[in-house]
Amino acid sequence: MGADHRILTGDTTVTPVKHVPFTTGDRIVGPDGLPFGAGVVTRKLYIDRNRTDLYTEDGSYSYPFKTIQAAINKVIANGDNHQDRPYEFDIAAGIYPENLILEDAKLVSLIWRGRGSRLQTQIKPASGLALRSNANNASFYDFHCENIQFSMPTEMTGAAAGNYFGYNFMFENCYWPSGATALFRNMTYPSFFGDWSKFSGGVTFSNITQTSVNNIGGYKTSAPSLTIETDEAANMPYGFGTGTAVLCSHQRTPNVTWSLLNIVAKTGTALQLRACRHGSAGETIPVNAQIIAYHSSLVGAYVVNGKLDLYDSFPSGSVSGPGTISIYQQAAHLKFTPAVGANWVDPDPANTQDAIDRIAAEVVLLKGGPIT
Amino acid sequence: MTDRMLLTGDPSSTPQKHGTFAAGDKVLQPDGAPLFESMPTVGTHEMHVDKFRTDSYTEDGSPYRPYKTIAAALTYIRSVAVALQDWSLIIRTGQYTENVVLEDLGLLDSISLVGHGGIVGIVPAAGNSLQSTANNGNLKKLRLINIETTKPIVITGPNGGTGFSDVWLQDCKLNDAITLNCINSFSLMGCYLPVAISCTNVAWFYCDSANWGGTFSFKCDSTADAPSGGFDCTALLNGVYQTGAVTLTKVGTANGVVAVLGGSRINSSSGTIVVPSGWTLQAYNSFIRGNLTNNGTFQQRGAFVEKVFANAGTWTADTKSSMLAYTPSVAGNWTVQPATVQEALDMIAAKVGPV
Repeated sequence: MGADHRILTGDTTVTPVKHVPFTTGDRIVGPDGLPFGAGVVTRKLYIDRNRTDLYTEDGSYSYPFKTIQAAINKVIANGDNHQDRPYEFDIAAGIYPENLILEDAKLVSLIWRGRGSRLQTQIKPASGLALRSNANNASFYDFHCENIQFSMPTEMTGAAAGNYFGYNFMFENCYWPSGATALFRNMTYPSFFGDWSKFSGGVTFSNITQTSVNNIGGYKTSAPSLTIETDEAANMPYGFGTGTAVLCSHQRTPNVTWSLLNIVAKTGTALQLRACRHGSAGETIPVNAQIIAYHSSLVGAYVVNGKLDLYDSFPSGSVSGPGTISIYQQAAHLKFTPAVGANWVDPDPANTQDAIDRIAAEVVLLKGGPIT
Repeated sequence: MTDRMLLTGDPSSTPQKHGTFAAGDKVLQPDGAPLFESMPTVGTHEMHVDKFRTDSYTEDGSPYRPYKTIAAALTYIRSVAVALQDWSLIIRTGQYTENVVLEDLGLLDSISLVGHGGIVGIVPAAGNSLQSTANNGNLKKLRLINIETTKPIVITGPNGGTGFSDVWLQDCKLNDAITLNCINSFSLMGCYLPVAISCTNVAWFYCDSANWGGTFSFKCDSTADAPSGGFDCTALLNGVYQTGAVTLTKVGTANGVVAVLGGSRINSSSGTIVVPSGWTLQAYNSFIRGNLTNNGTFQQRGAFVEKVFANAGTWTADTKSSMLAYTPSVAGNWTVQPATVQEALDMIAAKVGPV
């Protein structure tokens, strides 16, 4: 970095001042000594890897960081990140060849916004992880990550038992393309949403208190794999109930790979579906696992060793097995209007429940005994 | 106001005297340009537009010297863009009385129009709010975010073209008709559109979480121009509330797939959707208003048709009676209590004999 040239605006000088030439890297600073036009907004940091000119990076609009990790390090160095003092990263479109690491107790609340679409801002290192947070993250509560593509794998694992890691994590319109796996472990409430979010590299949720996965990829394409894991021998996060809970809405979901390890008390690892199209070739639900389906279509045959709850939901194939199958679409709620009203003593049955009840009663009279 | 010329950079050997600044004074660079106000455009692909700037300056798309029209920003991009660049127009809130025309082969790859600070209106007095019907073969991605249009959107791609692989409208309010011809992919997400949409040979049409108050015409035509994705097209409606008549049209040998998904509700109550031969209509957990005539394939999964369903094709229904719970009101009428409608009907039929 070169010299600072203090701007003299506002001075009422009676003494003439001599100026010196500028050289590359010199800065103009205001009366306060800060770079002119920079440092005004202290918790919004700009990152732009497209800038090729030389300057001292400070995260201002005029002097953005050229790497995201430099901005992360700046937050750590400032040491003032707090839940009510989040840092917002404004990340210009471009491909960032970085292995991003979020492992420092000083990281508490971050907002990342990729400019443009999630295809335009990519984290794409040559090897290794695009994003890692596996240590020193027990204080990392808030993370809103928007419009970013992680072109290599991501691993986020809460480092401590009973921690709040991921308490308010939101990934919006983020994309993991084919080959970029995503692993989220020992976290509280991470959520994923946005029409253009996709896990094309597959995703694993392990020991997650509850995760919402909404509208990811719509029905256009589905994630190639979804692994839901509960391991009682591993660290478990704050609020961990009966096992990992994954809530999916309005999307196409793949068959689940269930991983249930060292189960003693956590007997309710669950996938909840809301208006989803689930699976492609049927599924076996193991003991200690359950699928709860609301207004969803389940493709194929289901063998239930754990639990299957169907609320206005319909498997295309058979449903069998020794587990618990609960059907909540009632015959009483299906409207029935007789095609020939004369076949019925008035009043006509109004629904399927009434019709079957009355037919059954009539058959009992005609046949002289209960229906076998 | 007084302009104060910045003296930095002067190898002056003569000391100079400074004066006092007053409100509104500007600091100028040695070239006369306002200090710093051109810097943010270095290396960036982000152009700012603000129609409310009334002062005079040389527009360069920086936040300090934004373009005053969308057209001016597009002209600049056209002059400098090279392949594989993504350009964003950050458009300050306001009503822009322009016809946005994207018809120049110099428009490459990817352009986003992003309403900033609220929804941005493209409200010309006449013509189209957005038009791209010629010389657009190099434009692959087009995105509108937080934009309102009051006049039509018309997009026509070139025959066999690979362009328009990703046209994407998010959080937009679209107040006039949308007409799409011969493009690869068009997506609407979180939009409000009380208007008609007409598609001819749109390889992928995708509408998610929309309140759509108009008609939907989806046409696949093997005799007309088609994009690189072909004339066999797919439409996906997910979580959509759509009210106008739905018309599916087959010309020649072109086939289509229309999937109505995720709690959608489509068609007018008096309309009839006719599924052409060779076409597929998938209805998952959704509601089809009016009538349905199936001459192709109808896959019905947890979905219902409001009125008359006439089937002359292939019909798959997963809304099965075996998945409907039935608990007898009088248990004594049954030796073994049936648990589903399927079981109850089977037992009755067996007891009665051939029915």
